[in-house]
Amino acid sequence: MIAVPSIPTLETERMVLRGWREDDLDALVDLFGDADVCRFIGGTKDRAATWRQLADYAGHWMLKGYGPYALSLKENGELIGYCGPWDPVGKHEEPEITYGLRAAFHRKGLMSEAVRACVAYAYETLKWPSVLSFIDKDNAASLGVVSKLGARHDGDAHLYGVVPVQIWRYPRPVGVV
Amino acid sequence: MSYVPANIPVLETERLRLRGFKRRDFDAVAAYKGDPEVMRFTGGAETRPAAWKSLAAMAGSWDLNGYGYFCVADKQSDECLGHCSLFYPVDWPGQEIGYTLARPAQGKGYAVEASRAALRFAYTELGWETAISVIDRDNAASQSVARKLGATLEQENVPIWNFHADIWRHLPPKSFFASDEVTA
Repeated sequence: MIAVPSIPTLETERMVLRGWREDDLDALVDLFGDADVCRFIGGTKDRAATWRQLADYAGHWMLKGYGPYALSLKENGELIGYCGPWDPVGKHEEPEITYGLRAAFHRKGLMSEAVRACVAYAYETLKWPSVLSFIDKDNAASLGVVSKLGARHDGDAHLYGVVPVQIWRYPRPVGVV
Repeated sequence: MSYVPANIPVLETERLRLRGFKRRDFDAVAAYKGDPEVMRFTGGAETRPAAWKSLAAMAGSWDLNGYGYFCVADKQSDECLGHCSLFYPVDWPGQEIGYTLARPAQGKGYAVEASRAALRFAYTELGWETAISVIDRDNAASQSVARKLGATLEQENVPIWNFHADIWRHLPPKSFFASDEVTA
């Protein structure tokens, strides 16, 4: 067996943000199989494509030293979504904080809790000069998350040259220089 | 706190180095994954963004399984020539040895050389007791590599994920090592 070093975890009030494991697959299959949840994040994926997405998240960490985290509830360890710094080739010149949550966990403030932690991580640890998320103009839930965190709309972009999105920039957390 | 990537083993053969993928391999990966001839039987040519996702997934497979995709590099220059994989994701028909090489690296026996090293590693270090290769029925070059490794066609036209392919079965450890000694 090969020793794989673990990704450093982040903690919020209700969640642990941690690295990926293969047994996270079923929870991600639930997320990426849900047409409503996936409407603004590239559409649904089948089980095989979701395995590949899971490997892609893990590999982003290996190649870049940071990447999307698995969101796990402190209460019972349940895997509820993903959130973290994300910078695949060809998407846009600026990296973003990407996030998604299984439908059963919407409307509890969990997404903004996780995004807040990742924004702070990107400013403080990764030293990004500016931290943003790309959001579809019709994605009301996501616009709610960024508004709650005080982000401002800073123009528009096309991901991969074709997908129209709005750029939302997060304020630097208080005390971070 | 920073993250240090997994310590992926390095396997050396006469002409090749099998190692973990790195960011600097991206142009080489995008070149062979973007070559319709190379990718004819494995999903077709990929755009650069798609090749990046492939590269990340190849690297990330180590985190999920504890083994995964080796970058097959030229031993002298360390330049990426392709990949050789130890692959066993969900719903896959068995523990697989896979191989893909950039066009300029084909026809030199590299796929056999790399796969032999990967198979030896799987049998000695990972405790695999058997291995398959999933090969398109029309992929004569890949079938030829499998034959040279001692594999035999086991099952034809098997549904796997969203496609159909043949399953080739490799020699079990004992006979593989016997043949390995002869060819080493």
